Amino acid sequence: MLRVVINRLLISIPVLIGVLFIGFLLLIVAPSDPAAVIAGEGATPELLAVLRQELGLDRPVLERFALYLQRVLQGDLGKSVINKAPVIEELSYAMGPTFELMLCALLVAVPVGIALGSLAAVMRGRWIDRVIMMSSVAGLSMPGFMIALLAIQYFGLHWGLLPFQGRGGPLWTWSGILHMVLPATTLGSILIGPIARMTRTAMLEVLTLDYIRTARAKGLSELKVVLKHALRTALPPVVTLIGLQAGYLLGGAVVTETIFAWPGVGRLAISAIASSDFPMAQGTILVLAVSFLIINLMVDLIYCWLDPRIRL
Amino acid sequence: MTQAEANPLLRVTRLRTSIATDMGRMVVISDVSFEVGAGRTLCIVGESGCGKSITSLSIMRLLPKPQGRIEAGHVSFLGRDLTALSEREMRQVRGRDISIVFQEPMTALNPVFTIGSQLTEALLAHERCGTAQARARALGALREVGIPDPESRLDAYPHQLSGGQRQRVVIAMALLCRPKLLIADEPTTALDVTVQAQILELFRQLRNSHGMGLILITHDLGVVAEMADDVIVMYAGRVVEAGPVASIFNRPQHPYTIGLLGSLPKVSERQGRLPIVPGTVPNLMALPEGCGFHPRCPLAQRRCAVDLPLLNAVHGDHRAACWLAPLD
Ligand SMILES: Nc1ncnc2c1ncn2[C@@H]1O[C@H](COP(=O)(O)OP(=O)(O)O)[C@@H](O)[C@H]1O
Ligand SMILES: [Mg+2]
Repeated sequence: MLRVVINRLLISIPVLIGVLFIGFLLLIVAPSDPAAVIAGEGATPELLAVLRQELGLDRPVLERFALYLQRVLQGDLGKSVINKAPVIEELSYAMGPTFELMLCALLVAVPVGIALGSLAAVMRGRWIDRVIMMSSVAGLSMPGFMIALLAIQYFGLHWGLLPFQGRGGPLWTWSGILHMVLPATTLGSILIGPIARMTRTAMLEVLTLDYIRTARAKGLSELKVVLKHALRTALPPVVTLIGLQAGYLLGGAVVTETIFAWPGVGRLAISAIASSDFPMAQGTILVLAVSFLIINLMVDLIYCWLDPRIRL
Repeated sequence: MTQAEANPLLRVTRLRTSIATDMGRMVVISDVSFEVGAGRTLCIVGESGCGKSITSLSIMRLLPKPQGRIEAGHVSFLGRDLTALSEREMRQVRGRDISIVFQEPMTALNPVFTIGSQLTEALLAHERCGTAQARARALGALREVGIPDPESRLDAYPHQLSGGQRQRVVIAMALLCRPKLLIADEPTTALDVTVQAQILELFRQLRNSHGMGLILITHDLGVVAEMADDVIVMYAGRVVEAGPVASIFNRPQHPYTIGLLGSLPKVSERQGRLPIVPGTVPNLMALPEGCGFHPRCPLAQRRCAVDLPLLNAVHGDHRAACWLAPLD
C-alpha cells in the first residue's frame, strides 16, 4: 500500500516538471507579448524593453524555465499581469470551488453510472439494457458544452427550476446546493456513460465466475449476489477507468465553469489565457495538473483497497 | 432400499437439461432418474463430460444463466417438486436443505472477502444469530474439516490458503447449516490421501448422526467402493446402469461399466483415476442413433445402432440399459 503511494509520488515528479515546461512553452509561442499587454497601447519601445528585462523575457528559454521552476518550488507563482495580485492567492480562492465541483460531479456520476451499468448487466439483452446502453452512447457522443447549454436552456431559463450562474455559497447552505445542481450534473454526465458501460462489461464477466455460483448456492438473494459479490469484484476496472477519464473531467470542469460562471480554476485559466496573463495561466495549469495526479493517486489507493491480493 | 422408497429424500425423475451453445441448443442430460434416501450415499460415475455436474446443477437450479434450462422431468425433495418452486422458495432450499460442493476449489471462493465472512454469510442467509455466535459456528466448521490453525484462517483471504485448504473451506461452508442432502462434485480431488480420508469420515459421520443424504460424484472407484450404497453410471448424458454398489461391482451388465471396472483391482494400488475405456467421448451435438455407446462397444450388434436401450431391471434394484443384459 505504502509502496504504491511512494511509486505514484515518484512518477508524479517528472510528470509535474513536464507539465510546467509544456505550459511554459505554450505561452512563449503564443502570439501575444506580455510586456505589451502590461504596458498598454501606445507604449514606447524603450518602456517595452525595460519591462521585458524586468519580466526576464529577454533571457534564453531554458534559463527562464529554470528560474521559473526555482520560484515555483519556493511557492512563488508570480503576480498576475492584469491585476498585480499574487497568483497563489487568486488560485487559493479558485481551488475550493473547483474541488467542490469535481467532487460533486463524481458523487453524481459514480453511483449513477455504476447503478445503470449493473442494472444493464443483470437485465442483459432485455429492453432496459438496450435503453441504458443506447443512451450511454448518445451521452458519449454529445459534447459537454451541449449538455450544459441544454440544461441551462430548460432547467434554468425555460422552466426556471434552478440557478445557473455562479456559486451560491458554501455547500452547507441551501443556495450553495441549488447552484451546484446544474454544474455538477452537467460535469458528471460526461462520466456516466463510460462508467455505466465499463460496469456492465466487468459485471457480465464476473457474473459467470465460479464464486458467484458459490454465492448463489448458499441461498443468498440475487440482490446480494449482484451488489455484494459481483459488484465488489467488478469495481477495479471501473475505478481504473475513472482514473483514465480524469483528463476529461478536468477539461469538462474548464468548460463547465466557463459556461456556468463558476468561480474556479478552469474559468480562471480561460480568462488568463484570453488576456495573456502569463503567470496566472501557468499557475492554473499547475493546479489542474496536480489535481490530475491527485485523482490518479486516489484511484490507485482505492484500487489497492478493493483487492486484498494487492493490499497486503 | 425399502425404507428409502417409502420416503425418499430426493427423487429425480426423467430429468432432461439443455444448454444453449454457439451451435444451437444441446441436450446434455436426458431421462436421468434416481433416488437418494436419508442417510444414504449415491455415487455418480462416468467419464468427464457425461453430465454429472450438469445433473447436480439442475437439482440446485444453478445452471449457467441464461444458457442452461431444465427441459423436462421433476426433482422431488421430500415430496416437493423443486422444478416448480419460485426463485425465492428455491433460495431457502439452497444452502439449508441441499448444499453443494463444487468441483473447482481454486475458484469457488470470492477473492475479496475473508474466509470468515464467506462462511458466516452462508449461515446468516438462513439462520438468525449474532455475529459472535456465527463466528463461533464458522470456527467449529473449519475445525471439523481439519483446517490447521482455524482462528487465524477466519481472517485470511482465499489466496492465502492452499488449494486443499480452500477445498476444505468450501466443504465446511456446505455443511454449516447441516443440510439434509449434500451434493459433492469431486470434492476430494485437491486433497492428499489423509485429508481425503478425514473428509470422507466426516461425511460418513454426518450421514449416520444427521441422516444426511449424500450424492458423491467421483472418479475414484476406491471411494465408490468405500462410500456408496448405490451407484449410477452415466454415459453421454444418460444413466446406463444403476443399482446397489455390491451388485454393480460384482455383476456389472453394461459393457461401459464393465470397461470402467475392468482394472478395479489395480485401481486401489494406484489410487487411480477412472480407468480409460477405449474410444473417444461422444460429441453430444452428434450422438449416434441407437445406443450412445455402440461405436465404442466391443459387443455391439446391429440392433444397438438402431434402437435406444432403456434401463431395465436385471436383478432386484440393479438396472442396465443394454440390449445384451439379461432381463430379470
Ligand atoms: N457452460 C456450458 N456451456 C456449454 N456446454 C456445457 C457447459 N457446461 C457443460 N457443458 C457440456 O455439458 C456436458 C456435460 O458436462 P458436465 O456435466 O460438466 O460433465 P461432467 O460429467 O464432467 O461433470 C459436456 O459435454 C459439456 O461440454
Ligand atoms: Mg464435472
